[in-house]
Amino acid sequence: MKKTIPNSNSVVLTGKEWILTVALAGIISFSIYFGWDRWEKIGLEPDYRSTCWEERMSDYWAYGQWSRIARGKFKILLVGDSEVWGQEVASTGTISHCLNEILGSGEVANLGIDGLSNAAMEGLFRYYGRHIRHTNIILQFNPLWMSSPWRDMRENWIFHHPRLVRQLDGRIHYYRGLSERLGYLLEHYLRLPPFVRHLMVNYFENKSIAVWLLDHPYRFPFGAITFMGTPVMREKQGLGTPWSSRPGAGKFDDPFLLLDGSVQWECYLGALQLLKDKGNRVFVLLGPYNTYNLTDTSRARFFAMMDAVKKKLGEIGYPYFDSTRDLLPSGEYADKSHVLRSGHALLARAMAKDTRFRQWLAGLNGSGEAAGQAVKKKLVFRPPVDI
Amino acid sequence: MLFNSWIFVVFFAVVLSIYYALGPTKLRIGWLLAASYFFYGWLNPLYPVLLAYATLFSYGITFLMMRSSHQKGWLALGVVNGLFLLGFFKYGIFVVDNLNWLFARWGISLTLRKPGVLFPVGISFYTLLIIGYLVDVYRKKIPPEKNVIRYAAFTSFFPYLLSGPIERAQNMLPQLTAARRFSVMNITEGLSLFVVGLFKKTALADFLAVYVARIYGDPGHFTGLPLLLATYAFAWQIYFDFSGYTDMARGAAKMLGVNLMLNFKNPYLATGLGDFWRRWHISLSSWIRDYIYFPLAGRTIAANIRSYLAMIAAILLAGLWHGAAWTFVIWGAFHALGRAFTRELEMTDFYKDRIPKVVKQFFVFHWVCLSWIFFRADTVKDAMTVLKGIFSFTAADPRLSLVAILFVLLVWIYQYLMESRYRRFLEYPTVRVVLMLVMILYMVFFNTEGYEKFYYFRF
Repeated sequence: MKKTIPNSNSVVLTGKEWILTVALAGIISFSIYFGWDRWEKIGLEPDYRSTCWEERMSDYWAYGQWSRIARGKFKILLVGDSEVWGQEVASTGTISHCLNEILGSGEVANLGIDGLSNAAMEGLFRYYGRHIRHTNIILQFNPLWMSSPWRDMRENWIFHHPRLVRQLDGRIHYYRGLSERLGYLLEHYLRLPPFVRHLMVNYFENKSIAVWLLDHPYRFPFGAITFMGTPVMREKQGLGTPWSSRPGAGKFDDPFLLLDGSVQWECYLGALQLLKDKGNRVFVLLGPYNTYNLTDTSRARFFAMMDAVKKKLGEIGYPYFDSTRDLLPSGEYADKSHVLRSGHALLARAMAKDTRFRQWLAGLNGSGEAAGQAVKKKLVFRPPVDI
Repeated sequence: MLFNSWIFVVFFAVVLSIYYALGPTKLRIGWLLAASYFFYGWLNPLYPVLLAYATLFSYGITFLMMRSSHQKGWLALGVVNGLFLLGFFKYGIFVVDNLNWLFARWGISLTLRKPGVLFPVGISFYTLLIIGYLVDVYRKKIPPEKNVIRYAAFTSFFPYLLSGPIERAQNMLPQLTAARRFSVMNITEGLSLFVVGLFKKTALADFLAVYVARIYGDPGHFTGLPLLLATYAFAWQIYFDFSGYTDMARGAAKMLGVNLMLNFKNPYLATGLGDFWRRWHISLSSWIRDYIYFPLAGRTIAANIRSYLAMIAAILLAGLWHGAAWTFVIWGAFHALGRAFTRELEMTDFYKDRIPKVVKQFFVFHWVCLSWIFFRADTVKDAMTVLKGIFSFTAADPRLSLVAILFVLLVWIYQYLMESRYRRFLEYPTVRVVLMLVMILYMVFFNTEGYEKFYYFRF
């Protein structure tokens, strides 16, 4: 082709050639993108929980796929942070598992993600929640995220899921540069970058190809792609012991915030609204939260905040179950907000008895009234859980 | 704002659309100027202040120069001002460190305070650009630019502001004078340059950089073979990095209808050190030739003492220009020494006709690689460790990715073909489209996470 400036290579395309190249690149990219759903297999099992832990926690494409599968197979999706995921318990000791023991196997799916603050939750639903629609959600509210200004992201703190939080909120103390944050914002809409990140996370140990090849210099990258999706993580990630037995256990004097002006609270309301806009029925699980390791003044501030939360939820019409007010004994807590296996069983049983929860179950989305009735029946006829 | 970032894509899309939407040249140049200062200020809001000062000072100097009978004096003032800025911001710490070392050695109880740490990215490039302009005006090669907006757009043009090419006023100012019509060819050609540059940077340079950083980060822990391969890898890394940046700069400028000079021409196919410098960082080597070598040597290529001294001084200065460290001076010295020894040899018929091309290329490449050791090493001590390691002829599993070796081999073969009679084959539309498609798909699916800065930003 005719060139108008000198060049040391010949890879210069004309307009028509560019159109052809972009069309081919688009067809190939989107065939891979859409085909991957079918090609990649997830080893599902009753207590499946996605390996969204540590380096894998930013694999939002895989999370989107799991939420799509879960929506088809389960009536209720339980969404929250590492407490819902089950940091201190095996996959057979999670809240979703304990609820399934009462409601019947295959009712509740575990969609917890480690480190999912309210701010990240809002971003998750906004950008990766397209499959979470016209279904039933139990949405955890963890007071931990509003226990101090730094947890509220207003002070220096390296928070998890920097991609998911609002990128241009003047109140948030970001630890990434503006260029990078604007890049995140754009990536959410492009779809391919999160998918590529999934490839890196799932097949290349969450490393770039360059770094992965440094560790595996004599391997060919295509050979690493096995088409096996995110595996289940059965083992607990925490110690699984009560908080009081841990070294350095003491009382905290956390300030707990007022709802007005709190970033995390505003994002939580945003997350609720996004779920509602997508036709979901939402039930809020408040807590669990360890109030035994709070000082008296902090405890008072905590309950004042929770009262305000409940009041607001009542005003905007979301049913809730409060597990924070001395429902669980001190020994059931592993730390501030993580609970042990027997605590989850207690929590599930208390929820199952709760009138508001039962009412909510009665009108489940999806298979509609019938599903609600079926759950009701199970609630009546299933034997009590042995703790 | 890095070329290989999403924010640049958005920025450029906005700049380009508004640039062509604006009709009159005046508005377009004003818009380019605003965009360039925004681009530069994005890195640090203080940077544009320094650039504005350097621009206005040199702009004023050219007018005083034209109206004065002491033109040389005004030129000297303009050049000294540029060198002072460069010296203060780039070499201040280096000079103070070395003076303090000397004071300590001589037993003088004096310790100078180090200057601040602000290093305005691109200062080395725009200082040379401005000095070149002042000299050209003084030599009456070009008339002084009267329009301050156009002149400021020339000194701050964002595609080359951070890492060159170091353009010449006689090439740039006429292009900024006439409004460029929107042309599909400019867009397609510019886009081609940009994408190839992006591939060089993100897929090749950043790939090799990981291996190089691992070995050069702790050279004492590696044996000869890994050190040798890391040196080869660095030679290609810096080529892909810098030529990739240049391609992107030229591509972005081309889309705006501005042609920038060629800066790299397959340098590792050079058959002599002189040939290497005609292919590597062409805008710098030609700048050094025109503004340092020729004034010192007296515009001659005769092999006299003066021209040799001028050549050695020019290459040493080129080394020092790269950075305020002894490693860069030694890098320059390697090239100066090599060039001094081979200049006459390269002009002989024996060298030209009797020595096979591939042998010449082999030796030039290895001499250049030898000099890269000093360029890449953090300290002279590290460089010596690398050298000793390589010449210990010990071998351990180098763990250099086969894929990386394959990439470099493919590029090398491509460049060989480009300079052979088979070039025609590479120009077939199918070959070009397939190559571009492969590059795009590679970048889409295998690109590295995060944005690596360009190597030459540190200079």
